Amino acid sequence: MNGWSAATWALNGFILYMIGVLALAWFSSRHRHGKSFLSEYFLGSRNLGMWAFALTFAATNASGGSFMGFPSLIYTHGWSLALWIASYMVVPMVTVGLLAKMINQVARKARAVTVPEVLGARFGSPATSLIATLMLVLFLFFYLLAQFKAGAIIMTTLLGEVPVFQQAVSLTAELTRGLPWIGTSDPDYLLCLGMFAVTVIVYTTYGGFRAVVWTDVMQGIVMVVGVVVLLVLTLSQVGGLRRATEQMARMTPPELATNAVLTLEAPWTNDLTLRKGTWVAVAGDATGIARTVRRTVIPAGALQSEPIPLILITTPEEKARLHPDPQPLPVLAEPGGRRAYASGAGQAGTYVTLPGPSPTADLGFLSFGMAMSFFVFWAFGGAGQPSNMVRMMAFKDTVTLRRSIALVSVYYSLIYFPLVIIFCCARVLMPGMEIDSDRVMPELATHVTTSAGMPWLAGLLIAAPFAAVMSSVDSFLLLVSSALVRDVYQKTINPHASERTIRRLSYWVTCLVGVAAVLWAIKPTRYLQDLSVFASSGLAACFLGPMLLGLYWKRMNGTGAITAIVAGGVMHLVLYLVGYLESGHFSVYPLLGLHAFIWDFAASLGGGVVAARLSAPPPRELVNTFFGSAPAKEKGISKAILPK
Amino acid sequence: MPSPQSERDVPQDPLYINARRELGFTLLTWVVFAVWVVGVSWWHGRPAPGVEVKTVMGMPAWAFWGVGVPWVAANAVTFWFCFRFMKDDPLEVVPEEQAEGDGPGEGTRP
Repeated sequence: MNGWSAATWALNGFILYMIGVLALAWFSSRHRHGKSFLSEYFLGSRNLGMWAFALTFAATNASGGSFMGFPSLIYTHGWSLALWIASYMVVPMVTVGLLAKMINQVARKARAVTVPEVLGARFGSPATSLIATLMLVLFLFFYLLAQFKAGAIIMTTLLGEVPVFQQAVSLTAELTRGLPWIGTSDPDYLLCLGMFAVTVIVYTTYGGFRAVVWTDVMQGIVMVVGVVVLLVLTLSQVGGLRRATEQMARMTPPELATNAVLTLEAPWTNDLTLRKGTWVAVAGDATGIARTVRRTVIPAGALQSEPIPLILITTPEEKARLHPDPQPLPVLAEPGGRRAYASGAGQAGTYVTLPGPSPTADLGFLSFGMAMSFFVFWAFGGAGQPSNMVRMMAFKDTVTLRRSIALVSVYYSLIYFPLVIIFCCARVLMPGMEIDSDRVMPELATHVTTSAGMPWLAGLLIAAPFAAVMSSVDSFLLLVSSALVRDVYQKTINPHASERTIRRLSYWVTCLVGVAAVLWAIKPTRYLQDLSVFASSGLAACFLGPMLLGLYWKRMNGTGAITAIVAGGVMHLVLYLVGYLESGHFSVYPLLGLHAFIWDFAASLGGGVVAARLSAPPPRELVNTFFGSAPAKEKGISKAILPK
Repeated sequence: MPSPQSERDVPQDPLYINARRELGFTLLTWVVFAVWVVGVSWWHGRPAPGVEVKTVMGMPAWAFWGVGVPWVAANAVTFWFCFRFMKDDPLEVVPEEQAEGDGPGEGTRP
């Protein structure tokens, strides 16, 4: 079957998927009657069962990066990514086991529905709650931007070849031409951003937390099924993992020609347009083969193109396999200057060993310090994400918690290690994807399903990264709106607001936060992906230290919590500032070769402990309420239940 | 002002005691696997001049022994932690939030 069929199947699968998402949102809104609005809308009434809790936790963690950035890294750096991601083997136990039981209990005792509210109640300190809210809104907004952009890009890939979509893009271009702010954006990106944003904002606003959880369950299932199917198809087409690894062991990294010129044997009467990714032979090298990094036009009557970037294949085996004979196009590439990888250039075996090849780092992709840092970061940084904390406040009993940790550990095993295998095999199946390695996931899905004669599967496989992005966006959207409605408006501005007011405000704020993020995402900043990393590690830097100390150390107080939040945040900003001053662009400074989170977390913990020790201990009543077994009953505010 | 009754210590919540014990086990597990994974992978994963990369079950040997095997072991430890080590504890009920049935998952009810 041809590519058109694959695109059509992808579109059909995508439409079905979107109908499923909206239907789940509608069902979840029916679940809300007769319950406290705030608790149900922002926390699902603390009543999540095993499948809901496990899959919403897993799906929210698997953001667009898991299916776009991570495959791109595997493709570029090879098997070293197995060590980079290895911490996920203990992430369910550490991330959930570290905080879940205590945070759930403290949130119940405090009747808290947001993370800042838990901190404020535990320390009896409204100031702690307010500072936590400010940090949460600031960092999450950047996170939201990056995910909206990722969602729009995946949708563009999914629908790009569909005729109806191309007509809609033309219409969008006409309608937006000349409009301020949006008129200069790519119409296909603009259209996809609009469709993606409307869907997510509508179902999140309408359905609240329960809609987010139920759609996460569906999205989680789509992701794992997509990965398993992709694993089977990829391994069968590459001829087995052993064969793929042996071929990778013979590979050498490509070179980049930044000012290459494409030359014709004789001028054409029409313009000659070469699509991005076109293979061309290299002048002066009998088996030389290169791939265009962008769309190129050689004008009618001309012999040469403008200077363009090319990726030059260097592995002899691949050159022999890919070199066209006879040439399909009378074009030869003259590479001009070449730039080799900073590490691993010309070394066979670099893709299957450590530290892995790197285009920019002299010491390779993964140093020992960074390997250790990522083993810390995935596990503890995950525990520090407010989106995870709020889920830990929502499971209904500890039986659910135990079963969910086990389920998530199986789930992650089916996702992350198989992704390493799949995209190592992708290096063998699809050479030259360095031209745009972020697109390796949808390209591989289309490649293997079409080769297997099953283009209808492409829709499901490409829906997996889309589901990952969607399940993160909805969670972040609700976190920001809950912080603004509950922690700013209800706690600070209008404590006596009626439920009707809170309900209407929640809908409006959720909607407006989404719209604001979309408006900014129309013109994404150059460093948006870096901002995403900045935001996630910043959130962990600010929240993990005070929460961990607050839940397990009775002596911890409000002064210590504020110091922990500020120390973690300031250390994070300082490392980014030093990184910017040193490199001249937005990046973090790897002090002593370690990930910034290590230093942020150390500063947060250290600052929190010292400040708490130097200030008055918390009131005993507060400590008894959250660490004692009796006060809650004595006050008559709640009763204890035991699971069967 | 705290009430006189709250001035005295009350018995510790059993959930807090169990959570502390589970926190200790969790951190110990993380340390063991960090040493195993990073140590074995780094020790065996760097290329030695003139030595061909060995594979086990199609993976580079360092990835098999340093990531694949510990991943299976980590799942086994996680299951043991969940079904043998971790205790069930009572959670506070917030009555106004328990008006109707639960979510799409399963679980126990009091």
